[in-house]
Amino acid sequence: MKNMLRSFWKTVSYTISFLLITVAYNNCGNFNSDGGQVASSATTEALNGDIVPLPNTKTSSVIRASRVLDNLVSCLGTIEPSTASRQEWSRNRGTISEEGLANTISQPMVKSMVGIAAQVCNDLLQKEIATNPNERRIFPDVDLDNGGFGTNQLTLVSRRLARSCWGRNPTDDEITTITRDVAATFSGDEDNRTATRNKAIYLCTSMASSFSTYEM
Amino acid sequence: MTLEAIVSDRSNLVFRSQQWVLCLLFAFLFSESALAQLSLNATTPEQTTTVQVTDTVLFLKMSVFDADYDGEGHLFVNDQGPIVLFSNGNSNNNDADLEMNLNLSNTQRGYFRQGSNTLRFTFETPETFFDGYRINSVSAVESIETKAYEDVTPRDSGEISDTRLRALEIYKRLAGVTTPIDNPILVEMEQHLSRGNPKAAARLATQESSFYNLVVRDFAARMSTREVTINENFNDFIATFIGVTRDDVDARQLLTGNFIYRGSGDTNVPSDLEQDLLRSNNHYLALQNENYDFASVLTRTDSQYLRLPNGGVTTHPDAAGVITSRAFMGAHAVDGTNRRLVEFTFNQFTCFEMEEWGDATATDIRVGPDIDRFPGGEGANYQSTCKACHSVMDGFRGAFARYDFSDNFVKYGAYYTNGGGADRMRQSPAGIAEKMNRNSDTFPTGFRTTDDTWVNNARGPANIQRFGWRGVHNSGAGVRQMASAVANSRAFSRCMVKRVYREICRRPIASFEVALVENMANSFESSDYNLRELFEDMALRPECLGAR
Repeated sequence: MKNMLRSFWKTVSYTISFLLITVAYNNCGNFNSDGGQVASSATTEALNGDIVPLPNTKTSSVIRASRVLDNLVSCLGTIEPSTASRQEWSRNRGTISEEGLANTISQPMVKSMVGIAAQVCNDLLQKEIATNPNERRIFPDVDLDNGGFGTNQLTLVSRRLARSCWGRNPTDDEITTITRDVAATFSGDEDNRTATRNKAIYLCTSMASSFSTYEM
Repeated sequence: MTLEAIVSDRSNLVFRSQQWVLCLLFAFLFSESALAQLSLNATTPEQTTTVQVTDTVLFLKMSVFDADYDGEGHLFVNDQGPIVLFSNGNSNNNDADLEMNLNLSNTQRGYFRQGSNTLRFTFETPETFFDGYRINSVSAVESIETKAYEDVTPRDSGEISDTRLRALEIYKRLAGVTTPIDNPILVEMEQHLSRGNPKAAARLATQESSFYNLVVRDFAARMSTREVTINENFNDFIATFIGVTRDDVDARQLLTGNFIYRGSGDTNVPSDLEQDLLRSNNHYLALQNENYDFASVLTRTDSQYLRLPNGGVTTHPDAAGVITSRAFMGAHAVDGTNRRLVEFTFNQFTCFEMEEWGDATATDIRVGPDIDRFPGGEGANYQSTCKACHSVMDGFRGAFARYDFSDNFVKYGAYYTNGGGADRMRQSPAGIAEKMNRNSDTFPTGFRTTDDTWVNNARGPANIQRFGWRGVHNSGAGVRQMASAVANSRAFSRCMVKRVYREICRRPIASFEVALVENMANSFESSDYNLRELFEDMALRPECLGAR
């Protein structure tokens, strides 16, 4: 159990680097696709760092600290947060934007989002492990008991996670980035149960803590 | 599942028998099943009955008479036990009916089995003063509503229409969280949007528990404290906001109603009115910490209460919705001079800062004796820097003259005698909080408060336009009348619009959106001040979602 947890947190730390790529990617690719805009000093006359509203335009924002855990439980479908998830959220909520203004995203906030997402993803994994493989919601064709998480399954799971938490299909570029990153991170690992479960948490955490999940 | 059981000793037979006759008559008239379960055997020191159980029993909810001694009775479940009854028994319960939850340990929960279970209540007689008790009713609580989300199975692929994305945006604004794009509720919202019925789509989103548990909660939390932050523990102020929104109650009653919302009897949280609601926030904190679904467990109590000296409670003679809630009083009636209550009542419910509605031309006849009329030796300083705010603020301050918040609870002057400590209240004169006339030697001829009357001095041309006073608003007595003047003002409607906008659209309303405020305030009033509809209407606005 200890090894599993150590491995889990190692995975989480890997995820941070991947997350930064994902956040950056989402920030460029999807931010304005729904009509939402956020003013910046480059485009509008922002005073004192405030976001300047534009007429008949959605002002983008991010999830508030108070709702981060609920947001993840809702999109990942774990029904209720576990005690561990609740504790992780309690420990980290102080570093997350209180009001959710788009210009309040910070590096500590991003790290906290990863930690909380990792715990909820662990809840999801435990739920999925306890579910009949062909009835699993997110990891339907992944052999979580004996190992086996190939590119096809990665693509499938990525699509399901994106439709769950991003509210859209992932682009081909995003799928490529995700599969390449997962392959690189776990390149030396055997295709056994531990590696498969770590991959599952890694992939889930990366996507669940990316900007598209907490953009409101 | 409800049953009736009676346990008593022989010494109380006559007294008890009279009550049984009434119980029997009541049972005969209104409940045949209850009559069938009722036993008349008064001399037997124990009695059994059965309950049907389908799930894990969390606790027993009981209505008990005369539960005044710890250990006076025991309960055996399927002959396993004993479970000690009335561990909180005290002499105050003598000959009183009491609603109580009998908490069960995990071991005791294990005494129950699926199907029929025998409950055996016994009367213990180790002490001569044990005088019996009566179980009016008992029910086994097997499940409670806690916050939970759907576990939607996403599709692997498939086109997502713009309308579905629109539905998701509305959902996120109103439910406060995202949800899988394949969630059936989004499919239904998409259908409503396609048929040109966005209101119905928004209504689906506000039926989600998270609308109340997160969005309305944050909306109210920000208004409930001095720090004006959403990072506030659940309290009676927030609970009442949620209840009023959920039950479609006229939002003006948030300022005038004589009610509060609290956890229903099915919740297993500390619920002693005096100890857990009036003297502490234990009740609401436990609802929060136990992850209860506020949207479903909150229930309305049609009265507000005050703690009396030496314990006990009484109905509130001047209840004014959330203004007289423990949370709001705890935030603003602590120490000070009760001016903060006026300032925050107006700030939170009309959205005007004190400096905005100060009026240097208003009469200062109500300004208290603690305000120096010659600060720095210059009368002009008072005229230019103090009078404007104090003229209007101190005019209203009298409404709060009988209130203080000390020793962790609200004290109302009419029920306390002068003095310190939890059972007294510092007063001057009698019935009036001493702080109202504090430092009266600063300007001895200043206005001394002797009752709870108030005068509205914010009736200059600018303030008339600012507040849009309607109904009785020139003067009155007590908090409820003052709060009623605020609630009926146009400023209240505009303020609710601005606050809902900020909550839903995630930014303060912009200066170029004045017309939006007026339009939405009109529809808010047309809907009989329905907060839920205001949230829904706001989430559909192009200013909020973007125009496309």
